[in-house]
Formats: sequence, C-alpha cells, structure tokens
Amino acid sequence: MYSRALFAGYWFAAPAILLMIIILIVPVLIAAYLSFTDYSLGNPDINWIGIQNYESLFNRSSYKKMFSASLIYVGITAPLSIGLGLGAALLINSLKHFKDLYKAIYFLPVMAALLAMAIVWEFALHPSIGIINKTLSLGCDSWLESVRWYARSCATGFPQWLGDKSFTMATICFIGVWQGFGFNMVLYLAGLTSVPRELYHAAEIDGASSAWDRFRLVTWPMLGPTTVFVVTITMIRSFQVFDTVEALTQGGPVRSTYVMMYGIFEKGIQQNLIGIGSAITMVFLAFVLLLTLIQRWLVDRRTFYS
Amino acid sequence: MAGINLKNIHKSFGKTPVLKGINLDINDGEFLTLVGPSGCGKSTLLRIIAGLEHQDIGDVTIGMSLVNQVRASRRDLAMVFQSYALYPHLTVEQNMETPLRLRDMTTFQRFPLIGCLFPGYYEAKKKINQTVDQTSEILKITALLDRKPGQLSGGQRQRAALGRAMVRHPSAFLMDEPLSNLDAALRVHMRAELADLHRSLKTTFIYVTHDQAEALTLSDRMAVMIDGELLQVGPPEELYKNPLDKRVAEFVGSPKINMLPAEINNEGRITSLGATIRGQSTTYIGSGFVGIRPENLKLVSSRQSPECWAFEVTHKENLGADVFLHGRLGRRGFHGIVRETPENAAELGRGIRTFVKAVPGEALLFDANGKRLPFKQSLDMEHFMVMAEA
Amino acid sequence: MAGRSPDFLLMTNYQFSASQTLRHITLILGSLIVILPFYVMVSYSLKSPGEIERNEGGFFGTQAPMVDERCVKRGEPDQAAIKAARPSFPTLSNREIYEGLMVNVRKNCTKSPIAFNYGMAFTEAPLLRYLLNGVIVTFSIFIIQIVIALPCAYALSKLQWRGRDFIFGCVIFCLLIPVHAIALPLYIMLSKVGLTNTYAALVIPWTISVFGIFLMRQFFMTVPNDLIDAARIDGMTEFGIVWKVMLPTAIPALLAFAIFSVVAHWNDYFWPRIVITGDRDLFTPPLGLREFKGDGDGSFFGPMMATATVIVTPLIVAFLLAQRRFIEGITLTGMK
Repeated sequence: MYSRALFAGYWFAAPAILLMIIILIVPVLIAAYLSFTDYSLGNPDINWIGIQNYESLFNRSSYKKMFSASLIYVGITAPLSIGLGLGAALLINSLKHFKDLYKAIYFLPVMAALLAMAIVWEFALHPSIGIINKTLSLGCDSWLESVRWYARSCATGFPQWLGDKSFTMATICFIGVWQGFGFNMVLYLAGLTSVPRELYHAAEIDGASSAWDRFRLVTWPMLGPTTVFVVTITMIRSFQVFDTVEALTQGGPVRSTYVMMYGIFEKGIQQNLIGIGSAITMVFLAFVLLLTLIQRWLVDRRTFYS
Repeated sequence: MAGINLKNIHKSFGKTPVLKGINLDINDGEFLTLVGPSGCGKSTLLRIIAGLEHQDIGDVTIGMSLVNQVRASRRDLAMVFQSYALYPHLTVEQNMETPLRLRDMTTFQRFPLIGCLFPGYYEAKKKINQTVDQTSEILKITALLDRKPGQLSGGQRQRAALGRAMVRHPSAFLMDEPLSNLDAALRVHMRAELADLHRSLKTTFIYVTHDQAEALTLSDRMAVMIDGELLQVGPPEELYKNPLDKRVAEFVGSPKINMLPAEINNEGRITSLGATIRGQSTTYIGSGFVGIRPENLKLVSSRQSPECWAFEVTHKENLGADVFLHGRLGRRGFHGIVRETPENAAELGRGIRTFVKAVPGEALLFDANGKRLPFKQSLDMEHFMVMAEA
Repeated sequence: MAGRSPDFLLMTNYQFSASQTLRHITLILGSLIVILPFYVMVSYSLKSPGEIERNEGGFFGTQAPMVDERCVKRGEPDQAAIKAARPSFPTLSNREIYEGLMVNVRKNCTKSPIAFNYGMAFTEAPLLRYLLNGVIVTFSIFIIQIVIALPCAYALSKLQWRGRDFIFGCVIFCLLIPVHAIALPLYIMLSKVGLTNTYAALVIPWTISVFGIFLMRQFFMTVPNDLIDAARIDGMTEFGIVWKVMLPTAIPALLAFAIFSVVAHWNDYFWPRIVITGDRDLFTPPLGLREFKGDGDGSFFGPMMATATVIVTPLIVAFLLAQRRFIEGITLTGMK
C-alpha cells in the first residue's frame, strides 16, 4: 500500500508539475533573461544589453506615462469597485424583497465579455449619436442650463468621452468599475452572512443606535478578511486591464491610457521589441508579487477570530 | 433605579405562539430568574424586555415609563449573552469602553483617528478610563485588559462580558444563560461570584436559565415558564414546597418529584396505586395526581399501614452523602425515586423488594388538569405537632 | 449564527417604510446604469441604421423594412446585365432599363432590420465558426484542467510522498503568476515551436490551473480517509479512486470551478488577440467582434451590436437560469 501510494503520488502530480514548470516558471525566467537583451522575433541571435531596457523604462517619458496611467487607473478603479461593491452588498443585504433580482442585475456585467460591452459603451458614449449625449442634450433649453457646464455643453457639444484627453481615463475607469463591482458585491454579500447576529444585538444594547455606529463597530471589522481578499483580487485585476484600452483608445489619446498590459502588447507583440516588452513584464510581475505579499502580511496580522 | 413591569405580553413567530399572555412584576434590586425548559419562550421574553424583539400585544414598563416604542439602545439596560458577544477585534479594555464611548462621547469624538482632536475628548476619555479601571478591579480582570477575546478562556470571557455590562451602571442586568457554556466546576464558582456581585451592586438582575438548580441557588424570586406561560412566581423555597401547578412541581427539584396517579372519592379520601394518602381533599372529586418528593418517601421494612407501597429496587445511585433508589412502586410498577441515607440503604440493591411510606403532610395534590388542590393534611393534631418540630 | 442587517430592530411594522423605499430607489437608479449598455446593445441590434443614427423607435425599433445598401451595390446591374435585358425592353433607353432593374434589385434587397443586422452578423464574418471555436476552446481547456488538476490535488491531499509539501509550496508560489502577465514569453515559446495560430496555442497555457489544484485540494482534504481505505481494500487502483471516489464528492467545487473557467475563457480577449495572428478561422468570439468593429468608427452599428448580443447571450442566459449556482460558485472560489 505504501509504495503504491508513493508511486501514485509522483505520477499524479507529475503532469501538473511539468506544466507548472513549462507554462509558468520557465516563461518568467525567459522574460527575466530577455529583459536584459534587445531581442526581436526573427533575429538570429540575442544581444545582451544589460539594464538599458530598465533604464528606458524608468527614464523615458512615454514609459513614465505608462506607469502613471496604470497607477491612476488602479488608483481610481479599485477603490470605486470595492466601495460600490460594499455599498451594494450592504444595501441589498438590508432589503426585505427583490434581493435576488438586484443581485442578478448587478452581477450581469461580470458575466458579459468585457470586450463586447466595452464596444457597446463606446457606442453609447459616441459624441453625437451615442445615447448618453443624446439624452443629455434633451435637457437643453430647460432648467438644467442653470448649471454652467451644462449650458456650455449645450452650445458647443457634449464631451467626447473617449476622444478628449481630459475625459478618456475617467471613462475607461468608469467602464472598469461598471464591469467589476458586481463581483466584489457578491463576495461582500457572502462575508456579511457570516457576521454573527448577536454582535449587532450587543452593539444595540451598548448604545449603538445609528447605522454608522453599527457599521464601524461590527460590520466593517468582521468584514476584515473579506476586504483583504477583495482588495487584492481587485487590484490585481485592475492592473491587468487590457480589453477596453485596446478596443477603445489604443493607449491614447497622447498615451493618457497607456496601461502596462497594453504596453506589453504594443511593444512586445506589435512592435516586436521583445526586450522592452520583457522588462515591462518583469515590472508587472513585481507589482503583483508585492500586492500579494502585502495581502498575506495583512491577513496574518489581523486574524482575531474568537 | 426602578422596577420592571410586563403586562399581557403576547408574541408569535409566524403562526406559532411563543408567549401567551405574560404578566410579571419585577422589583427593583431583586435577582429574578426566568426558568423553564428549552423552547418555553424565556429568552424571547428577555429580548422583549431588552427591546431587541417587539411584542405583538402587551406593555413593557421600566420605572414609571412605558418603553414599548423605545429602542434597546435607549432603555438603559445591559445584557450578557450566552455566547458573550464580545467584539472579537477589540481588547477587553476596548470592549468595556464601548458602551461608555457610545453614551458619553459625541459622534465626532468617536471618529477614527481624528476624533481625539475634538474638544472635550480627553476629559471624556479620562472618565471612561476611570470607570473601566474600577470595574475591572471588581471583576479581577485588570490583568486581562490588553488581551483580545480570542486569547481568553471561557470564564475570563464571561467576566469580560459582565464588565462590559457593568460599566454603564444600568438600571437592570439581563442575562441570557450566561453560564451554560462553562464547565460544571466553573459554573458553580461563577454562580457564587454572581450572587456576590448582585449583593454588592444591589441592581436588578433578570437571569434566564434552563437549569433549575441554578435558579434555586441564585434567585430572590423564580419565575417558572413552560410553553409560553408563566406558571408561578415566587421565592425558591415557595416554588419548591408549594408549587401551584403540576408542571412546576415536576420542573423544580432534582431528582424529579414522584408524580403518582391518584383517585379522590366523594368522601375526600385520596388513594394512589393501592395506598392511601393521609389527608382529605375538600374541594375536588375525581382523578388527579399526588406528588411526593424523593426525600419524603421513607423505607419501611413491612407494610405497616395503608399508607405504604410495595417497592422493588431497580437501580441504586450512590452519591456519597445521599443514596437515590429507583424502583417500581405498588402493583402497577410505577417508576419512583426514594432518597435515603447510605446507612438505611446499605442492605438494598437491585431486585430487592421492600416497602416505602410517604411522610405525612408533605404530599402535594393536583387535579386532572395539573392545578394544585388544597387539602387538609391531617386529622391528627398530635401528628401535626410532631411534624412541626421535625 | 448568520447575520442579516439588524435594521429590523428599529423598523416599524408597516410595509413601505421610508428607509426601505430609499434603498430601493438607490438600487433602481444603480440598476439603470448597470443595465444601460445591455439595453443599448439589444435594442440597436434590432434597429435599422437610420433609426440608430436618429436614436428613435423605442426599444424594438419600428421594424419598418429597410433597404440594404451593400446588397443593392452588389446587385447593381452592369453593362452586360443591361445588354442582356435589352431584348425584353426594346423601346426603353439604357437609363430606363437600368432604373427598372434597380427597382427589382431594391425590392430584393429589402428586409427587416433584425434580418439585416443578424444576417450580416452571421454572413459578414463567420460568426457561427467563432461561436464554435469558443465552445471548442472553453470545453477543451476545462476538460484538460480537470484531468491535470484532480489527480494532482488528490496526490497533494491524500497521499504521502517525499517532496509533497515542497510541491504544494510551488503550487502556492505559482498562484502569484497570472498567465496574462507572462503572455509575452509564452508567445515567443509558442512561435518558436511553430504553434501560433492553432487551437493548441489557445488552449495550452490554460491547461495548468494552479487555482483549480488549490481549490480541489481543499475539498479533497475534507473527504474521510476511511472512504478511500475502503476503496483500496476493495481493490480499486489509486487512479480509479480519483475518478470514482474523489470526483463525486467534489461536484459542488467542480461546478464552481467550471463556471469560473468557462466564463473566464469564453470572455478572454487578451490571450487570443496575441496568439492568433492571421487565421480568421480560429477567432474566438471576442476576437470576431473586434475584427468586425475594425478600427474605423464603423457604420455597421446594427450588425455589430447583433454580433455582440450573440456573443454575450449564452453566458447571460446560463447565468439567469442558474443564478444561485453561479453566485454560490463565485463565493466558494472566493472563500478559499
């Protein structure tokens, strides 16, 4: 029995181990190696150029825009996704009727292919024939014109949500939040069901009358582990944004939405600059690693189950 | 400080009635226990007093004020839960501070991080710290103040929960089976501590338990609830010696009272399982029950009088100071329990047949519906005087 | 004890309390924003180009017959056609014959907007093919994932062998490596082996699902060892145990994982975009839609929306039918 189990153990794990090495570990090593070269697909040989690629990454303005675009995107999308997810979960959890209906509605964007829905959003946000601007312009010649921005837009045209540099990033973030918050909502709803009900009773007896007091004293602390998980997942997913950028803005206008995944795509695949592409890949992996380590540390620190 | 008054409380969950018209007056400063088997509605009643549940019909009055519309956080009551419900992410000290912070600090002062910048914060905090320190000294948990509930033992958590309840000096303490999660030895110890606490605080304690022994030892008065009805309220001795309902008699006292079927004829003579009970029923004729506590059955060597039953021992429980003999009473083999001293029971064992006799004057008579019947204990005055001296 | 929000504590007993109404209003407003693009997508897939541009026609559009301009262009009679028709109409000029023929062409090219949009969606590009590709790829990925992950999870949870803990540590470590992040080196490796533009390229990187191994292992650890020992005594091979004993107990987790995997890979755009460089026949649904869109503003909004609807509908319908399962699944995978 023992040797049989031993035998089986190795054989069963072998395919997985093999694939892990080939598909996950080797590519990281390859990317690490290539990031120090100026390789392009089709080149007969590989030239070592040291840390030149990394120097460009951290000095050239186009790459600095890449980091700032990524960070801005994550900095806006992640908190909003998490906040709205939590808010929706709290609201839905407190309802008496129609809970499942709202859950289903808010979860739909998570199920729908982001590329498809991004294209639909692009169309809805079209400056002239998109439904958003068309609806906004319905309000022209009404009391809404007392708002300065509104009156100006009625005259000169409502914003080019994707074409105008001052709006593009916000629009991309909006689509990202739209797509992602439903997922967080479901996770928070699950977390809320595991909050012990008696704690709310204790809080009430202790004098916590307002919803804010109950939230601070019971809900938020008990959602701690859920929140750590939600934050990590959301941040990693937002770092990986690609579909909306490739289909709607191609990193523009003027590189304002030039996020890292798009950078890898443009430099590494489209322009065949494998060296730089690999360097961006390594930086990206470093971000992911950092985020996950922070999550682990936070979870270890905050475990307080009674 | 005030008494609490419950008038005609009804409550149903869906179609199931849980409380069927409870009327109860709780005196200021007393230790009142709500006892009853599981599911009788006592926890629900406690929650209604607390304001965590709403009654369907009826009034709750605290002091002179009707509190039906007042929410739990404003009723000035404190509650200790069965699971303690301590905030797991706060230290014991912070747990105990919470009620005071909620009561004495404004929302702004309580704000995370920046709350301490608001005026008045430090004075309020100092007072709170004082109160917490005093309370933790009384409960002897000063050494535990920095720990989180997860790092405490069951008894320590219990005391922390008590501390959190005590800091506000509420007008009454509500306790929902606070000792049931502790092991037996600790439970006995904590009972004594709770009794001491009550004596020193002199505040009203309303205590819910299913353990009638706990109720007997702790209460000033006991309220027995069965199936949503309040059957009897009174001091423990009263409930023990003078239960007004068969169910109360059966619930209070361990081991359970011997409840024998009885017949009362039109002369008022009471017979049960072939023996006669000394006394005369004056108000009732028909079938009923007679309850005799194990300590009121005495072993006799032979059938001395019509007041004896045959008794065949089936099981002997030796508890050290007492022996409880289980056996078959009378012709029909009714299961009965007799308490005897170890000396008297020394010769007895399984299968031995002997006789038992009811101690005169201690029998409790009930009608067919379980209501207590008065009856003249004895026609023999001389015997009465003997009983009085015993 | 499970927790619902305790607002019942302060709730008065009438049905339509103010705070509940407020919550519903907020949620309804949110729902409108969430549903908006779905509404636009379906609605415009039912409308004619004119209606789209003018933003009219309600949700369903008026379904007034429209003329397919491209069809007309295609059917436009050339010199040879006019010549061929001349014998039937000797008295008419070239111009008049032309006009006459055009009327016919126009009539033949008239159709309802739905037919136009969805027709174009399926004919302009091989949408059915794309859908088929989606099914093939998603299905293959899931099956291979299971075949690789289940035995490995079993080995990691129920068998004792040297290096087991080390390998499990590697599994945990690999959780840190999102496959999308290493797309570039994977692409290079695949192109060196000549496997770009193949089904293999679409499937291979996803065959190792570290998350799946992790999830299954957690589940397998809860299976009582006695069950396995009983099977061994009955003569079952270890391999048999994996499929006949462990698999049935882990159905809920498997289901959750299936949902997770299918949704992720049906909707995946990034990896196919990288690895399918020329062969349209291998396009997955999102790629197909993107190709349809092209880079211009595209005047074929109707057909484009129709394509999007077709791509998005299968998962949405499946979700609506099995809502609870889906949400349970996501929760399960989240609560690892």
